[in-house]
Amino acid sequence: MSDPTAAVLRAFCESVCPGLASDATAGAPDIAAERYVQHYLAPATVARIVEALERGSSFVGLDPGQRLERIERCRLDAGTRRDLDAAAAATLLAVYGSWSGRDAAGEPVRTPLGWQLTGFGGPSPSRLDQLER
Amino acid sequence: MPGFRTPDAVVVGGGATGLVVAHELTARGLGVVVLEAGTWQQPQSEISSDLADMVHPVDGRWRWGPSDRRFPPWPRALEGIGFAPQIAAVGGLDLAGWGARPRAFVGSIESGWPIRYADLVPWYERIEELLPVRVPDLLAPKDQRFVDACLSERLAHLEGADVDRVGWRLQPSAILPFAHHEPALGERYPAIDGCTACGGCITGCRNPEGAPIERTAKRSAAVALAPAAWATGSLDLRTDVVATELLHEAGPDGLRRIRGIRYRTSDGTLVEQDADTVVLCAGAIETPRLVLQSALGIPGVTGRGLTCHLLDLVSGVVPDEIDPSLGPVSMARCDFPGNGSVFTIGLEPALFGLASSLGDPSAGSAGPWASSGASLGSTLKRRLEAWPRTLMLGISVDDRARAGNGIRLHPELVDEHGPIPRIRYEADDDSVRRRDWLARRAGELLLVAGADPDSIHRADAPTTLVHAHGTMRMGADATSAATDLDGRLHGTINAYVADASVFPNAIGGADPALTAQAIAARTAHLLAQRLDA
Repeated sequence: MSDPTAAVLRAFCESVCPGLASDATAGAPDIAAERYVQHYLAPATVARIVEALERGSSFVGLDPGQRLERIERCRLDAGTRRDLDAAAAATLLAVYGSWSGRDAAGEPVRTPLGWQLTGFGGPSPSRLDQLER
Repeated sequence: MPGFRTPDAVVVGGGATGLVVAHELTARGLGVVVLEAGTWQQPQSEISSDLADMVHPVDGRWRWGPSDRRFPPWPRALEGIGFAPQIAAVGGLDLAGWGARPRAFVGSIESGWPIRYADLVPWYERIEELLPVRVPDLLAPKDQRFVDACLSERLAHLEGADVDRVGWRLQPSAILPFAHHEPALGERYPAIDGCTACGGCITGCRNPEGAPIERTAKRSAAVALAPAAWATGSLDLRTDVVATELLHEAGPDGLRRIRGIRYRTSDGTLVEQDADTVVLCAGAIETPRLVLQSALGIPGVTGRGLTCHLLDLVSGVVPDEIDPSLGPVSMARCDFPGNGSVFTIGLEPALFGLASSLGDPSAGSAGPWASSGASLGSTLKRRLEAWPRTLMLGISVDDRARAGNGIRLHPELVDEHGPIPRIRYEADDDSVRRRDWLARRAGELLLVAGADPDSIHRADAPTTLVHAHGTMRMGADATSAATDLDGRLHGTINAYVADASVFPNAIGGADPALTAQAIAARTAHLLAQRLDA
């Protein structure tokens, strides 16, 4: 992925789930969620996303509020919306799924970021002790 | 396993309904071949309960694609639809369902089906006994909160399985009762026997640890019916195969007789299986696709009439922690015949984020919510950080068929099995009004439940075909229905459809699983009588 493409994708992920640079808690940029997104989206989809977001002026150069406005304008087109929503879904999975808690081999090594942010405990064989009978 | 040259029946699809047909026919000593696109997963060793590992649409174990996850998923062309989940695996889409097994609304069957509700009851009872289906004897905090709100609103508390009036009830589900656990006895089966409240219904039930298949808590057809069918010695379940064509020839009275099925194995080999009777249980997308690919479709009828339940989500933050992921996904609901249902739904944070953040940008609905539609950025993060205190209510709409909605074969795009389905859906105006009405009821219940008014959010979720039906609707008239009242494919002698595609309507908004399985049991019984004769 070229540096300009990576920058736009990173900025998009940051818009979906901002990190410590602009929010009180960590988010997509702090775990490089754009790597997860780039892994799952076809290159053609990424190219379409970049083209849509960069139309008219630099997306990376916008402030957070302006970026969200541009995303919402782009989402009004059905085809672009499908691409952007796929990228947003991948971003959310990266942050709130188990990915950020795994090492390169896929082994769980830490509590994923999103589970820390929400208090979710992850899969468990039994939670019977938490039910009040 | 037997390798049948000419079985009594070939069933296409080893999901929730195909396994019902297989179970019922093999129990009568009939030989059945089931053709299933995916594989069988052993719950204890092959279900991780991790969201991405199990249900990621690209490379999850339960995706729509080859079981070898190095290869890409099978594509679909979606028009007007945000997400159309399908699962290639023994057990089908039901594997990622939350186990709910409500009956159809009585009025929807009586007013819209060519058979009576009373005709379905024996088959409802059959499935309810087989799986089995139970109402919970204990509620998790999220469900208790909802029930308390219903009681405060003086909504009637209804018991019994028939849905014929407004009221709330405990959700009948194909989930074993909560286990009684004595820690001193250990943490595995048989010390724990039953549901463990793990909250993993959607991402894969493998609990209790160490349990045999027959005691896996969530009773998908894969664990409830497949083992018994295998044990008869009359089931030949062929996995990793996809049916590509029904082979047919001219029969009497201008009808077509199915003589066999061609299917493709995972290595690309084409196999022809002889068949005396074929039962299509591949679901509302793949069943019409196969019929159309086989040149057996009725123009303007086959594949048309797609309905879904326009699922949506309304959520709000209550003062205390209720832990949405504790216990089964949904244990209580309130029905509004004529509109649909409002039900509790407990989603883990990633799913909650997905379900609540990517709403329709052009929708703007008025109701007791502070926000609706898409929400990204810091707003989304704050909503997710309140997840432990978030009460989530799903809505399921009594949809109406709209002209133009349905499944067609794509004129250009193909996968390795032929032209891909082109799936089109646009909501009927009345369905949208019912959806809005239900969303307002859900918002009101959240307020009564103590949710902060400024936190109530309506997702206005894009159309998701989690529930899909109606594309091979039953009816006596072959010019307007794809199947007859017995599920036989119009124009054929020996092909049947036994899945939710035969529904003439959206059954009031109820989860379609029990009704689809009841239809499958009914069809299997009719077939067995004919085959015995």
